[in-house]
Amino acid sequence: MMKFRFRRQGNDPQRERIKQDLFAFNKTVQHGFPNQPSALAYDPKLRLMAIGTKSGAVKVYGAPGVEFTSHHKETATVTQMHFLLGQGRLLSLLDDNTLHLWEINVGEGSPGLEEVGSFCLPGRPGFESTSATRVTVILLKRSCDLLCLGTEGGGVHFLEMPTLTLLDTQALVHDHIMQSVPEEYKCGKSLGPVESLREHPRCPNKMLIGYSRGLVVLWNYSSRKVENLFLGNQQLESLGWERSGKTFVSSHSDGSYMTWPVSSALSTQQPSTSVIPYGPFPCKAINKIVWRTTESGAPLVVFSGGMPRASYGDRHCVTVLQEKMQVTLDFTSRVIDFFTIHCTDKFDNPSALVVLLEEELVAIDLQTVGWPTIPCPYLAPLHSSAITCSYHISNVPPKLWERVVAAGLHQSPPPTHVRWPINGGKDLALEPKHNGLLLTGHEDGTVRFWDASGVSLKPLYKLSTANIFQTDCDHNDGLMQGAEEEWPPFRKVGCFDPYSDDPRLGIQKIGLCKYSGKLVVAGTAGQVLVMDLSEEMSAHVINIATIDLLQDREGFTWKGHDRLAPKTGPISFPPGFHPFLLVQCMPPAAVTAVTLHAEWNLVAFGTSHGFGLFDYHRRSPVLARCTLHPNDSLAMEGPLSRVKSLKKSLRQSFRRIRKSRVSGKKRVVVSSPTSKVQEANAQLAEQAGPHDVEVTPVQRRIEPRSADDSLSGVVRCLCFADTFLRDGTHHGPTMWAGTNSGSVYAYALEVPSQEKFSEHSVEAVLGKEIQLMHRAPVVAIAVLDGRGNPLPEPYEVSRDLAKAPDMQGSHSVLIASEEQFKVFTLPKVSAKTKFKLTAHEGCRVRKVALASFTSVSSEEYCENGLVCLTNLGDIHVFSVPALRPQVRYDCIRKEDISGIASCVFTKTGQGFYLISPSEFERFSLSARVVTQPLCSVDVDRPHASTVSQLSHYICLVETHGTKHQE
Amino acid sequence: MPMAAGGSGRPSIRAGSMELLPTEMTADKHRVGEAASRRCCTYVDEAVVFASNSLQRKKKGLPGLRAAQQKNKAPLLIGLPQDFRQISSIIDVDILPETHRRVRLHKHGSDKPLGFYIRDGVSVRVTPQGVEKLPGVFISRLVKGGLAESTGLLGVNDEILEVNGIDVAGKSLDQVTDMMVANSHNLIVTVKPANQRNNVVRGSKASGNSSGSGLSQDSTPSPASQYVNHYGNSSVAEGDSDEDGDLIIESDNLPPYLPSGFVANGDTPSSSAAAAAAPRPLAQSASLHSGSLSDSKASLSSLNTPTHNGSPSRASSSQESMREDGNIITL
Repeated sequence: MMKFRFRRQGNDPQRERIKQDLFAFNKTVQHGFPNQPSALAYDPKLRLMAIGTKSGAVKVYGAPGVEFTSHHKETATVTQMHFLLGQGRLLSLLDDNTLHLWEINVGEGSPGLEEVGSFCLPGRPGFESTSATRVTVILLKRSCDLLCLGTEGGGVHFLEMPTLTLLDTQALVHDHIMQSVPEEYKCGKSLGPVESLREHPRCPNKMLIGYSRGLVVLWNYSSRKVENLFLGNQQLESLGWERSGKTFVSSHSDGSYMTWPVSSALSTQQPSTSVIPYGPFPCKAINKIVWRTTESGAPLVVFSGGMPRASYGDRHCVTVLQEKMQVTLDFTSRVIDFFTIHCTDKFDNPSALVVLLEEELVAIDLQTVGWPTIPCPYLAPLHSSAITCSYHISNVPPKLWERVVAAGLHQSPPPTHVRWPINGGKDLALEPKHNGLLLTGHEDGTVRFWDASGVSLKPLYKLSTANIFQTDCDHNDGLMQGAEEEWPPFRKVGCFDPYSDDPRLGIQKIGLCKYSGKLVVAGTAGQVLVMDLSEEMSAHVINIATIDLLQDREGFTWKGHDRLAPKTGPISFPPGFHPFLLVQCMPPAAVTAVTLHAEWNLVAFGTSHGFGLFDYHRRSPVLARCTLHPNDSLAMEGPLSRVKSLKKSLRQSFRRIRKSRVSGKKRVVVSSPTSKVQEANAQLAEQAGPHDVEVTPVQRRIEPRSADDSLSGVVRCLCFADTFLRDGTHHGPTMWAGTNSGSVYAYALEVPSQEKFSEHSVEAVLGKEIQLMHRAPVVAIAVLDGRGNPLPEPYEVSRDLAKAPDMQGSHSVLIASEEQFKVFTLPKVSAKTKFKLTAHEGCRVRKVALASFTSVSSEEYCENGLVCLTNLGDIHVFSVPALRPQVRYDCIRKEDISGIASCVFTKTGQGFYLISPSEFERFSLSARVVTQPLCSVDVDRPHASTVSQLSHYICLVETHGTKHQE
Repeated sequence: MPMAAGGSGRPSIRAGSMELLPTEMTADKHRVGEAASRRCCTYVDEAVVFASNSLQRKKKGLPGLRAAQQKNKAPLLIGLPQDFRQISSIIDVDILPETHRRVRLHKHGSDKPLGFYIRDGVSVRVTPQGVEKLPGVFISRLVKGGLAESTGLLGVNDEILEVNGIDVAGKSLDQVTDMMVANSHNLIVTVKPANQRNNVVRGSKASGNSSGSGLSQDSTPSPASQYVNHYGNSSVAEGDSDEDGDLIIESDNLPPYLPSGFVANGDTPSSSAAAAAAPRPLAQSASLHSGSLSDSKASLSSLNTPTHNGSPSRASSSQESMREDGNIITL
């Protein structure tokens, strides 16, 4: 008899079909700022921008919603990128000296960025070192049919585009130039690597070739002759033409820039002007310089670097200079590259300057007086302060949405007339039906609200909690600005600020009631803030309460940080979320769980010591419960791991410094035969590392968890539910709490009705305690109604936004631990269904959420699923309440612990996780609800026929493209 | 293959499915298991004590074996059967290859640690294609005085093939660790013992295929996995019934339902008194935690002892009793 009950589920074909309609796994789009960008390109014709990264990613952005992402097969740093203007093609150079041609696939089907060709400059026969053919600089001619590669050896090679065919006979070698150079300049020295190549703005046959040593040559490609020689003596960094072609500007390693007239004389000895803008003391190199003419007369010069070495050598600056006007844009992270957006008429008349920094993208409006910044509609620097937690709200009601947007607009009014200048392509995605809010909590005590409805994650509103506490760093800002000297004219730009004033301000947990606008934010020092959304400015005193979660438990002393000292007196708040209540947990350990019930005016919170319940309407505590096990000493020591993590972080930062020193070298020598041997040796040495570890085998102890394991009292989850705890006929408010040691506490609450709220206080009586036998941490608790559906959120039913839960059938409670899921009946608690994930798969639950999945074939058909991310980075979906496994997908690498820890799920079967400190990957488990870019770019590819010779694959792409054009 | 073998050798199945039970005496702490050699364990029947561990339990043939054992260790003082507590058993002997051993460890309420460690290693297997080296998981250490050591059924360097019926091939050490910890209350490990000399030689098969040599001759990558289905039907299912005893504590101070808004009631003196005072003191439930939970833990462990099981009258007398997976908790 028993045998048949445990028979495995067969593969029912009908069920399989339903599953296909419900579930599908896709990684859809990446939000945020690319990690470690290394190259920038801009196509003024298509108005598209491309960013390459150190890991080999290529991202193309146009108008908001127009995005293409791809990745080089090799994980090498993208050192340079160039658009084939107007063609929707992109050329990238990696630090392994390979060139790659990318094409935006504009045909039907999914838009994408595909690699269509690659090239590596062959070494010259007879030369042992390949460094001579290492590409240092690329010039893609405006006509897009010729590519010029400057090399380390001082040669220039030419390639036919877009076929990437090397024009062998055309190559211009170092010696050829040397012949024209006057003897006295030569001094037996080589010219050094080619540092810059610039096409003449008027005559496409001519180009400037700048050598590292300082020599600049105007070279005629068709006649293969040197037209002019400019005998510079300073080490060259970059060159830039003035648009008439009569003068050009060069920048140098000593922090100077020079303008050179192009005259008819063969050689020019001296520049017409030579300036060291931040002299007279030694300055750092000016890495890049551009010269733009304006209608108003004075040219606009933009350059990066050049700061006085001693006093401001550590600043990351871009200087904008026009006659007497000069601004030194002072950024918080390294400048990677910049470009200007300008017209192609008589004058350049630059309208905007776009600067790519290591941690953010900044656009400056050059047409408005004062050169203000233009807010970016994408590439949001999520990590402007490190993300400590995230929280998603699906289906945000329009009313709350408008209020949050209004608060955000009040906070940072949009620029009056300037629109985002990079606006190529068309966003074809439909307006999202529902708005989604993503809330990120940060280390500096801020909560940022992001519009997560569509492809581009837009900042909506920023809430700061630091201003209600007394912190040491309060007054520094004012002093800093006063102390700043008049020269250089620094201007702080950008919002990346990795330094936290006080780690205790860090946000740990967030809860938001989307109908009432009540927000609860809890932090590292046990602070729980309850807030209300308000349209008015207000100055008020915050109610402060302290809850002792130890409950006179003896023998414990808290050795961790102090609680935050709140400011006294009224604090003024701009329109937005206004804190009205601060509950401080004692001991002030980090809050580990928080939940809010706006209809009952209750907030529940838990730490490693216990949990509390607070009536925020009456401002009175309802309950405090200690969950500490008597033998648990670790919990008392406070954040003990901080000692370790400090050591660790020191070690890591040293490692980072060392690493950056290595990669900071401008050019790494590439594989000559000898260096190949060295490389192989280095690899062997690296491999030897893990082998050594294996000598002492890793052992694992097999022992069941015991009650007195450390940190067993940590409260992991809290939930409110209107259900049957006392008996099967009367339901009422309940609160549930789950701990790290597998204990669940259920309280029956006595909540007075709305009218009597001020007369009676809320009561909480312990109804049940469940101790899970396997003692694994309880990660989630949810109550299911008579039909097995999760209970609706507060206010959802009373405002007719959700179907009333079934209160006739018997309710059940779903308890998810790190090892297994179980559904228990209510009010008599007995196990109904269960799934033992760890016993079966050997993986542990890290994140879990209930989601509803709607079928692609019918909007009516919908199933609830329990979505679970494990420590191995795979995602499982289980049916509810039967707890049968439905699908399993690999999602995150199991080594990516921070990615797994950062994952959040939406209610409709999507999710987000951090792929770097600054980027969220968005994925979809639902076959119906998918948020991915859908866009088009009108490209003009005149060389389609020649490309088709390249490969069959490209042919296919091209036919798609032509079809599209018809 | 296995079915044919099973069908032909009926008597051998009976002998095999009978559980081999090293036991631990709770009465006077004499460890019979230690005395037993690995080849020949001590068997004491204790059918009354527990909910049945095997559907195929047979009592036949025991007296003979027991007599043989007693001849070896005559001076040992052995108590009454009901004083013994089962700590481990070899199961499914009939369906496993002779080179493998499936051991069940009964943790139950004992305060003894399971007491073993596992490690990564390389498993050498003989296949038709030749010798194959595969990653495997092995027992690396037995803790002195631990449950694993006292059974005498597990040894250092034994390769772990399955955990509670799940093949561990392709699983990492951490995964296997998690699986074992998750099953630690009723752990069934299938091992290929490093020492193959003590294998049970079955009568009918012994003539055809005697695997006296230490090297296993596996024709299939994992012979044990063939039996997963059968295994899942018997052992895992029955394992579920006596494991998973989540403890549910009903609080008896929970008031009966009252119309909402009406707070004060006589049933809960604490809450009625507290309602009067404006800044009400917090519910002092902390004391309840340690007290009631440890009390009930005691009652859980007492449930697991054989003496309590025989008297269901006490449990049924209370209205507050909870039944969960066979455990009755009285408050």
